[in-house]
Amino acid sequence: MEPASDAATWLDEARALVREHAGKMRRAANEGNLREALKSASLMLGELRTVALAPRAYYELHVAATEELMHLRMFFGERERHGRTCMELYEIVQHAGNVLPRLYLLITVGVTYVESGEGGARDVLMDLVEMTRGVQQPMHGLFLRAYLSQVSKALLPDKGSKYEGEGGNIDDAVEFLLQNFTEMNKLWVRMQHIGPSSGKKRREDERQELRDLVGKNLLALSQLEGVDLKMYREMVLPRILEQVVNCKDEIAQPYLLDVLIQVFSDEYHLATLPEVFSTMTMLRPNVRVGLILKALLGRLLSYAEETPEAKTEFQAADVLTKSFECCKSIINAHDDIPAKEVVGMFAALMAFVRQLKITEGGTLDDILLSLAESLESKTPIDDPEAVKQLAALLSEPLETCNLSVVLSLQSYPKVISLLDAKTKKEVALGVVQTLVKNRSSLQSVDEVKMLYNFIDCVVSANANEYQESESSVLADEQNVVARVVHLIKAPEDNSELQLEMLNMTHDILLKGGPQRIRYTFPALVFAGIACGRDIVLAERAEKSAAEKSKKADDDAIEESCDANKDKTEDVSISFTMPMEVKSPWLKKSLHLVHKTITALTQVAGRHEKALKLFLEAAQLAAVANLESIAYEFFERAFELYEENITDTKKQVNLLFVIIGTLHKVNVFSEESRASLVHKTTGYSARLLKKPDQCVGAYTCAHLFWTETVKDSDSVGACLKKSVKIANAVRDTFGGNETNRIEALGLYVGILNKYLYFYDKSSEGCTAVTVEALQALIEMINGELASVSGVTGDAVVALRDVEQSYANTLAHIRAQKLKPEEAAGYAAIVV
Amino acid sequence: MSFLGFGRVCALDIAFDAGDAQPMASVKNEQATAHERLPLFRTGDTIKGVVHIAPVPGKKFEHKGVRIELVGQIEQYGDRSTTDFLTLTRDLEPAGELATPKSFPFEFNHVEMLHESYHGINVRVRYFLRAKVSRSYASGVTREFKLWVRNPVKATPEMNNSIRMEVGIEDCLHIEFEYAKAKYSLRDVVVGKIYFLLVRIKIKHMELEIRRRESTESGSTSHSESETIAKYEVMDGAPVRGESIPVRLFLSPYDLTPTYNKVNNKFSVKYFLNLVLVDEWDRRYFKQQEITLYREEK
Repeated sequence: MEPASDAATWLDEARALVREHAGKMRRAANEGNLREALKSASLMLGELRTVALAPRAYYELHVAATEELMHLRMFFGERERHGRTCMELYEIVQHAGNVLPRLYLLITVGVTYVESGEGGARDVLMDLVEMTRGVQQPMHGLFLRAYLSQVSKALLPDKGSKYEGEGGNIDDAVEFLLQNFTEMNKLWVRMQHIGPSSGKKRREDERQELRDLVGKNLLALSQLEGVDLKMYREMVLPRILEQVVNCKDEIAQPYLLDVLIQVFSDEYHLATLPEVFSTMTMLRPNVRVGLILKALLGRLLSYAEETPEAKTEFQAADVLTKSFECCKSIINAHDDIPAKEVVGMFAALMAFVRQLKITEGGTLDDILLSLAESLESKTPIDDPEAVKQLAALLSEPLETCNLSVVLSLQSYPKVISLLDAKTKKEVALGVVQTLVKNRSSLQSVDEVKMLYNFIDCVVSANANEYQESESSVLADEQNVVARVVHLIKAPEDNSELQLEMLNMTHDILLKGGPQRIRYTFPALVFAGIACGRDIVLAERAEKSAAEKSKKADDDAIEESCDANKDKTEDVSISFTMPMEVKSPWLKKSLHLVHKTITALTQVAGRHEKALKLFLEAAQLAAVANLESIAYEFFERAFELYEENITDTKKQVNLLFVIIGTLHKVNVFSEESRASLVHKTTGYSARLLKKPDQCVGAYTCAHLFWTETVKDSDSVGACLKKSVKIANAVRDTFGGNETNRIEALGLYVGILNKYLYFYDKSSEGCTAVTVEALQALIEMINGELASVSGVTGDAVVALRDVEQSYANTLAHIRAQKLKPEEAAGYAAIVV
Repeated sequence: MSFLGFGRVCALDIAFDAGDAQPMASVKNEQATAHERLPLFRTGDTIKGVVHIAPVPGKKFEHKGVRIELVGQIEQYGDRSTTDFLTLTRDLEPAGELATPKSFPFEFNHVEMLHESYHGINVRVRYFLRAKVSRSYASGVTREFKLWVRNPVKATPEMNNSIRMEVGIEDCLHIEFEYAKAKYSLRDVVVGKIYFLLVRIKIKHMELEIRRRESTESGSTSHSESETIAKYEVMDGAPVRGESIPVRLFLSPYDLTPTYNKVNNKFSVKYFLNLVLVDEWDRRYFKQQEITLYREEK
């Protein structure tokens, strides 16, 4: 037979017998036959002597039997029916030969004995709790004593109870509960050691099921009216703690402390912290003390939330220091305490620190330092749970404290260094992300230095740490690191400080090697440029304040700076009117930018980025009227273009960027400018594909018509050249359909440029005449008409061209309707 | 039950002067099959009453005299010997004739009945009154009336130390037990404690037994026989070191007698408390301690 069904059969049989005997017992009681009633009751209770049942089944049997005992108790209470005094009954039931039924009966009579007033509560209860020692079988004893504590609840001579007085007082009530608790706990612990060692896990489970039987005694203690703080401290707590320590049991210790923490009031805990803490250091090594400490602190925390004066009380009781001491002594007491436990305890402490809003660096530093020391011998920490907690713990001060406080924590990097490489990185990145999220700013060189020190593991290069396959991981990581640069913000626009910080950042990041600076340096460049721009803006603001009457020229191409919104109305950067900047820090910032981009040019695959950055830097130099520097930046950009950009597509794109920049910038002498423009047009002409050349040519036209340069001839030359190239495209390979459609696209593009420069006629541009425009339109019309019978991809291409052309013509028609433009467009026939 | 047996000429009966006030004792009969109620006396009591003789109505008979005897007797089953340690006779009527019922008062003044009535395994102490009508040519008419004798003591024992003892099996089990007293009245309670100093065996339960040892002597041979009067479980399950288990055993429910020492040099009855530990394989470990029982004055 299966063991499970075996037990089930057992239970069924036992329950049937309980029912049977109970029936006889009730009948005898109804007839007033005490002797028979007791006999049947003994037989019924005899069923509880079984050792064949698991706790759950035994519990059911126990409930069934004790419910029946209620009837017997009522019978005992009706003296006229059995004719015996309670004292006599109390003796008679003790004649029962078997100890377990005898004690159930004795307890049952005991209740009547006290209720009737015949026996004093103290005497009877103490006798019961003493006599129950006769049951040493753990489960029998546990349930017997549970029955005792259940039925005696209303009989305790508590303060204010009707049993208080001669029959006993609160001391007796406490003593009774403590004794019962102690004995029950011993029995419960003993369960662990009965039977073969193979059943350990099962026994542990069974004990967990039974634990509340033991815990209820503590609950009952906490519910006594008469237990005041003094009594709690002097009588109740020491006995409970003594039992906790002495039972040396890994299940009982945490459970009992947890119950203790949960059932007694916060005031009591607060007043008895040293006792509880010192107990925690005496527990078994495997007990997760951290959880208990955490529960206690959590309890106090919720108390603090509810009670306004709690914080003062906590300070008076020196809670934090004591908790901390406790933590340390626990660790000292257990050499083999697991890392996650240590971390758990410290996490509890940190939560406490946060709740009490303690933001002084000293305390935090002490705590973290101690954590680092405690974990030193356990490195690397590889328990995932511990690692997770540790990471959370490290991000805690960042959330709550001032960044400067956090950065001043000497202990922080030490804690980080406990982790394994991967987690270290995660934590470091987490720190940065928290900072970014909180919009923290780094305001001094020391802070910068310390932060990078904190996150050193993701900043410095380690040999061969990343494989090729992990490059995306590295990219993600370094993009986060790069964000740190943007946190650097010197107070009061102190450019000198800002630059000092940035320069230091440069030196630090440079150590990360090419694979890191490829991600971090662009950010640094932008930070450098931003710094320079701020300097320019600041000076401009001063100037405009000086000559308030004169507003900045609105025609200038403007760039506003978000950082100084209130200033943007008055101040903007003008490329048209470069201004002299007095601040020596501008050049320094440009120097930083230059050095940073140069470093970036050494990194494979970063040339394009570097080129663009050079152009950005050139713009900054330009607005500050630093011609030679701007020229240098252009030169460097061109150098990169010539030597390192080989991809045709990139060439085209970058060329547009160059043209765009050069068009804006207005700082160069005629000679320098000519040289730069010459090179640019040269690049355009040397583009590989004809269509690209065509587009390049008409885009270059812009270089000859800017705010300051007005060269209609050269514009015209560029446009003509582009038409010529477009013609060549059309005629390639005898002018097949594909090429003709491509050329058509180019023509439409050229037409748009024509219109642009035609609009500039008012500024004196003579490059495009009405006739030329008209001729081009006619030609496009003609070409369109001649393209026919296209198939395949060409259909789509053609449709695109037609659409774009139609849009252009629509624009012209619209212009005709505008009164101010009508004059110029009237002559154009579409 | 008719006492008018065949051939009997008269009926005999006894009445005590105390009438309904005569104390009675409920005792088990010799076969231990039922209880009987017997008139109860103690040593030094005066046994006083009346013998009724009722002839068969309408018939008269002659007799050689009427007598009553008080007999105290020890019966030993082993050698089927009977020893009368007490025989007192009173002549109630000289020889004569009886036609109508007649009562004859009798009195045994301050009789010394040192030994208590006792029903044991191999021995018993019995007291009875024997009324006898003697006749010359026919068998006389005799009838016995059982008495029960108990002799409570007035004073509680002066010396009554506790019994305390440490026993054990080396490296296996060490216990110390303590019973509050060595001498108990029959309505007493045995109160004690068992301390477990070392427990290496798997104890299942522990019980306290009351054992009675009856020793008889006849001539040069002596014979002892023990029986367990009470079995009382005092502990369920296995204790651990340091546990102390309370013992409280009420003696009143059990059929006990005082301790008897060399009653008439024929027999002794001794009582023992036997502490028994039973392990999981039902092996029994026990330690026996003699206790003295005495009958206390109510």
